[in-house]
Amino acid sequence: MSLTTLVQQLANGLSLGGVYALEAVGFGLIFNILKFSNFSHSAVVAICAYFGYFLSTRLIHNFIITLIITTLFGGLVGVVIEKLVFRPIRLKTASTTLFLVNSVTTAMLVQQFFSASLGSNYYAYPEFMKQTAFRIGSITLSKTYLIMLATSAIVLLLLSLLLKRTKVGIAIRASSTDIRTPSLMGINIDLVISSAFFFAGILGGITGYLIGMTYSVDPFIGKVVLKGIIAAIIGGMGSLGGGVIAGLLLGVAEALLIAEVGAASTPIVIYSAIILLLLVRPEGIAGKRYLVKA
Amino acid sequence: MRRALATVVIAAMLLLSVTAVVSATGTQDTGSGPIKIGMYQDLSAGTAQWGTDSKKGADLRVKEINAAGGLLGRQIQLVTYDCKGAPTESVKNYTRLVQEDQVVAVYGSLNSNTGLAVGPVAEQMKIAVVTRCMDERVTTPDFKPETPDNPGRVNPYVFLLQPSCYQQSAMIAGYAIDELKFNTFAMLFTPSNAYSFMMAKGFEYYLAKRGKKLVGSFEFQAGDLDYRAQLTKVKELAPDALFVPAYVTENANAAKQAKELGLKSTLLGNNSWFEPLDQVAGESADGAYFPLNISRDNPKLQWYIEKYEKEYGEKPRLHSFSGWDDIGFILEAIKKAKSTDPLKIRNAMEEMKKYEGVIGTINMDPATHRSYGLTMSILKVVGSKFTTAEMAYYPKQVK
Repeated sequence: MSLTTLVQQLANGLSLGGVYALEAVGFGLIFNILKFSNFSHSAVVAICAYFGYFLSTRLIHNFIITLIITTLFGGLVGVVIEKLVFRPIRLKTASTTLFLVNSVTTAMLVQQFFSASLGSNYYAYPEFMKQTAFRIGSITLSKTYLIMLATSAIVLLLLSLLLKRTKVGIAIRASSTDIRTPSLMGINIDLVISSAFFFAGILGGITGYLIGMTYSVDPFIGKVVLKGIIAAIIGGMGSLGGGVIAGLLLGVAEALLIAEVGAASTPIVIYSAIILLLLVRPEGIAGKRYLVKA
Repeated sequence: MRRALATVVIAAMLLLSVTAVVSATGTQDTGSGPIKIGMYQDLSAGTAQWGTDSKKGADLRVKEINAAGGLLGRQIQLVTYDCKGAPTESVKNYTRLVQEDQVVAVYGSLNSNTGLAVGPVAEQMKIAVVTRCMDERVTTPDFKPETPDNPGRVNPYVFLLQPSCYQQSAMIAGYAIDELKFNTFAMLFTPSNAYSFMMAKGFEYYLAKRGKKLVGSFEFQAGDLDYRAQLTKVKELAPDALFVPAYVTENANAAKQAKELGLKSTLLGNNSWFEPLDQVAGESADGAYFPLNISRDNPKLQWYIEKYEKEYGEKPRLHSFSGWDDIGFILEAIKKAKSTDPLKIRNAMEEMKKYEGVIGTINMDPATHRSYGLTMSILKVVGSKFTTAEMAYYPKQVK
């Protein structure tokens, strides 16, 4: 592989990896506090992808404005899902497995809903920018992918500031360690959990919009979170930073492997590597060990 | 009172079960009431646009013939199910159509994966299925990509009504070699989709027979929409043309990403490069060539275009024509057989010559249940519009 090709593949891999990183963090936020794998995240992604499409084609034609609105809408969707699907069972102190099952059924419900109502058409976002790529020498960096990467970086930076410096952020981190003690200290746990779902929803909203804009919108667009979940697992359940690194690594590995080994063998190589990694180090790259994982 | 009621109930149940047994062993069609034709199409999931278009074309044809008095003095009834583009669902639909709805023939989904699943079942249940599934193995199950001239035995109950994968890939490969004068090629396809896989195999075979070089063959997995890794490699190899035979969203994304990466190779496609590819790809597909069963510029099609537009308020897409022709083929077979006996209808299909569809003239080859001699139009994408480069093309044949 020539140097220019290598650099190009790195660029390809990083921009996809940025999306995986967003997914990993959205997933990890919920896992840290409620200790279950929140598959309903794919529902948020799908809903926001369609929302963003209709918003940008019917109402407002500006990229930044529609991105921001969709992002906030994603947060709202996350909170709604939490209140409708998870709060009732949390109040009944259900097992972690039930959370998992509920999240999967939510994801499937949303997917089938879109498939049944809007499935038979192809939806493409309007073209926001005319010239869609920058050329640096013979390396091409497409605008949309750069935006994905930049947005992921900015959002993750903001999120880490939020988690370290704001009250809500500290409360979320406290709840990640132990969900009962903060309430003894006077912190409103319900608000903390809703906030976590709001932030996760924001990440889902951005992902849905960006993926919908770069490729196209279809009912199964939520499947992209699976890669993020894998990144979260490799990075270590419990470590958001680990999830980010793992997401980027996954993206780059995929890009390099697909070009050299072929798209059929790439998942085999990647998943074998993941199994090996987890055998040697079950807590992932940067995670902590947990007793209950669902 | 209670004993009387019990007796009546038991008698009714016995009567019903006797009737059920009798009708299960009877002939498919009862001889009175409407003639039932079954249809299973992709009305949801990825290829739903095509399925819905096929259904609209089919419904229009049935409406037309019923208005003219039907066939054999009876009305035609179309029983439709959604197979969701899934092989398991199609088998369920076909079985239900045959056993519960007692149809005399079936119009199946064009999705090759579903065709491969329904084929063996049709052979068992002996009700003919007509489809547009281009994978050769749907009509000739023992077909091997390396030896296309020996297709093996034919499935007696499945019929293909458009050029097959090998025929269509020869179309675009032949055009690229003889008209565009290209010498080096690469291809990007997905082996998880029988149609994409067989188109790629056909393309490879034709190139080899014509002595042209395939410099690279790249695959992607089902559901993948990002091909930049593969396309970067193609850019490095710099062939004259890149062949991408997949479904519409995949083709559109490949075009978008190829354009962004600055790929210079001309894009060649399959008959899934038509609408709604322009909606998803915008101007990225500019310069691409692909074969299509019809060209809307063809003056001979105008009467159908107007008729369809009057009924549905939109211009017909490719499979709007398919639905009309394919149901017409079944109706013609019933007419020729002068009967609703499914076996006689099947025989009429196998012997069909010079069936004049809107798209072209079908001559059925009894050895392969595929048609021979069909030309196709070659379209070129200019900007985001489809133009006709060649109205009726037939490639140089290879042996």
